[in-house]
Amino acid sequence: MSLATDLSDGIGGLKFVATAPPGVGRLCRIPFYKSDSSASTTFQVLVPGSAISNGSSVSPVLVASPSAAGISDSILMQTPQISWATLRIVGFEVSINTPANMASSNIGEVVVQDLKIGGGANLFVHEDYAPANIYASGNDSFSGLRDYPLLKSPNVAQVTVAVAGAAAAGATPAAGLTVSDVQTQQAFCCNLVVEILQDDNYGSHIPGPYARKGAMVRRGGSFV
Amino acid sequence: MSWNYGADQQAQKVAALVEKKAQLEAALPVVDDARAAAIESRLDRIEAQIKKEIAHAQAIGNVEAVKAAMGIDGIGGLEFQAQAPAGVGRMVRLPFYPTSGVAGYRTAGGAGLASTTVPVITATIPNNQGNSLAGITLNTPQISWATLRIVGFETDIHTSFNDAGAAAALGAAVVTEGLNSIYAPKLLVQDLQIGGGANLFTHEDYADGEIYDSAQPEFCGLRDYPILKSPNTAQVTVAAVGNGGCNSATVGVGTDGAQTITFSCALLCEVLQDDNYGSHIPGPYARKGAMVRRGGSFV
Repeated sequence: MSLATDLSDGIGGLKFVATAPPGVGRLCRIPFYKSDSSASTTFQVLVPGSAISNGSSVSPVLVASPSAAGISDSILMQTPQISWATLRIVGFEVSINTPANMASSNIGEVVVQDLKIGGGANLFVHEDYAPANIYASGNDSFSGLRDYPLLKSPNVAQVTVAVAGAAAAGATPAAGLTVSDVQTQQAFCCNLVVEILQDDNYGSHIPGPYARKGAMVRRGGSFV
Repeated sequence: MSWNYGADQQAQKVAALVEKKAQLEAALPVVDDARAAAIESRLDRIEAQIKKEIAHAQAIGNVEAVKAAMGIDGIGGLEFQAQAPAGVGRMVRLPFYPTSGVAGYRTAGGAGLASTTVPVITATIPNNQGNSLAGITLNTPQISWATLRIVGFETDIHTSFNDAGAAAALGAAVVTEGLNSIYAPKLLVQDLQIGGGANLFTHEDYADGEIYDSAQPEFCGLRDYPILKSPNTAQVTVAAVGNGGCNSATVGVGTDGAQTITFSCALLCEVLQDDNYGSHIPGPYARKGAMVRRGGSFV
């Protein structure tokens, strides 16, 4: 008998699995913020301890309400500069809170496009908008990306977000809205899923198997 | 033809091949290209050997022993997995308690008050998204009886509820707030630290608490897996934001609905040494081999 079969014979091949933490520096999340203060007719940021705002580099929670029939105005969300680490991007996630009881309200759907690093090529497979829910954090599996590039300061990741709706039913999120207005809103956050390759404070790490050399074999390609 | 060994010897040979195959497959991701090519070639040869042994086993009536040696006896080649407990002292949860009170957060101690015994907090979202609640800092208790390794952080966003409020009193022109007709609030987290040390989150500011939600299919990573030893404690800052309902001053009638979010936070730890139950072996993710690192000013 070997270690491979000791104590496992006769159990009908049943294996026991416990969901475990991913390991140091693996599957970390970096939030996207609407850090510019440009006004939007669709989006506003909820900031703890202060008033609703056009932009914030502190809070990643946005409230959206469709301001136009079809596609709304778009905003650019970006991650902060991470000066203390070199990261490898391995995924993108969103978390959206829609009203449980939508009644007759038209809240539209949050859509995303053009995820890129430091002005580089689009990492989404879709060149145009796609429903953000395909990247929902509650999904059983992560949605893939075209590449797993490095993210190193001063580069930041950017993604374009809009709301697609059947009608301009909403009002710009603000203080003192009516019930009809508020019922058209949804709150959401976007996050980058990253592996920390090198951390100035906590040292260099071994990335997860999905982000190692053997799992990222490729040949050719004009961006490589 | 290699008929020069019996059934027991064949089972031993297959077991050795399976073990060697597992070792080579484990090494594959961490070797250079030249070595990887050599390993793949060796794996192909092992596969061919195993196929040959299976054919031999069928010929000499030794199939069951060979399947047992391959770890697939009695299951027709399928593998079954069952979710299991983590093992003694692994992935234990240590709750954070609201050791100081902040307006808008109700604890077991009362509205806006602290509680060192109950970790569950209910935030009442203001009925106007123009003014959000401030953050509240939570702390783990001092664990004097054990040495722990922190391996994760979890939130339990237990309830979010949007009351319908009272019906409008003035005619059909005014829309009444519907039950759960407003988006659920969000919980934000920032600055997880041990004993006043560096932030263990990758985000320096607030992030969505849902990325650490216990209901997520996988755990979210941290920058480090530090030791937590008394008198040090862990602390984290959380905040609840949302829209409690409409502004009654605007609508002019009825009573706004109330929106609440009930939550708690916990540290995911491995017990390394327990004064009462002894020392434990941490999970594979928290062992030396899985925490290899080089350099770093905090190391």
